[in-house]
Amino acid sequence: MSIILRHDKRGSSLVEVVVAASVLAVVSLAFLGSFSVISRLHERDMNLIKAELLAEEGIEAARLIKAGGWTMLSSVAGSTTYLSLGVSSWSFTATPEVVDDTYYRTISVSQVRRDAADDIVSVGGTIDEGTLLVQSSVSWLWRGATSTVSYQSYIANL
Amino acid sequence: MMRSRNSKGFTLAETIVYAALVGLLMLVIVETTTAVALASRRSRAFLDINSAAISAFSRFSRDIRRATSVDMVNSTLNASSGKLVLNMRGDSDDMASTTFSLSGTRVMTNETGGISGGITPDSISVSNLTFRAFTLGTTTAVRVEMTLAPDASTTVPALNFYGTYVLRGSYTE
Repeated sequence: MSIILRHDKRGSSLVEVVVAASVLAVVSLAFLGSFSVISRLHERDMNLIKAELLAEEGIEAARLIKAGGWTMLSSVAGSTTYLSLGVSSWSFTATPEVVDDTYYRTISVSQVRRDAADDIVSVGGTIDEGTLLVQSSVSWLWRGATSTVSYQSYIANL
Repeated sequence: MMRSRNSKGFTLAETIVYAALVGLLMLVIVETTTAVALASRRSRAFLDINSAAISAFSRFSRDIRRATSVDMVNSTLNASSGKLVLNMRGDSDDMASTTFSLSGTRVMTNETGGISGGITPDSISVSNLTFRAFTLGTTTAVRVEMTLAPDASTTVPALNFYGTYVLRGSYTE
């Protein structure tokens, strides 16, 4: 009994110190890891906010282009088009748009079909010449993964 | 025999090994603390940029959409230290105006009636606030370009934010 007591009072062995140090290292690395993950999540949010604003801008730009005549919008129906910022207005172009070398923005205008009750249907019905569906999509590559934000809006020929 | 040798104290080799271990431990602690501080500063900077972008563009989109026209005389358009004066219809159909401008590195807003203040936090520096006005027929739209950078010394670069909003009030003008 007295031998065991004296053995315990000797202090920590090298193995114990190494184990304690590695436990501490693992814990602190996990601590650091959680911080850098949080930082990365906030950075991802920042890119997302920018992309959402750009996608919303796509819809608003289509709304402005429509003010220059309904045919400006209806002539690009059924295809994917891109936006071009001029000195005095937005316009549609066939050249892909890349904002700040990172954000790819596409605008898709499609025809709208309505049934006998005038409700919008995806199949069947007849084409409504006075309504178009505008979709604005923004894609960007970040840390090897592509994210996309899309907004849709019906625009009517008032 | 064994026990009496062990209770004598530490050998030089043991002391050196322990000292090296303690040193290594200190190094790990210092490195970790520095890295955590750096990561949390970056985190803070992203958060500041995010909240500034959301609050500023929420105001831009709300007020520009409510406006009836852009005051072309008092606005400073197409310049990086821009100023936007919007004509709004007031509560009792009287004309009111809302102004957005860059004061130092903060975006300020001012409404007739006296309410004014900053819509971006002090911790964020707005290095560019450009307004562009487009008119097609009777419809007017305003494009806002804003560059945000954190004030603190971080590795976070400045980021541009863009938004275009059609003045809903311009339809009926």
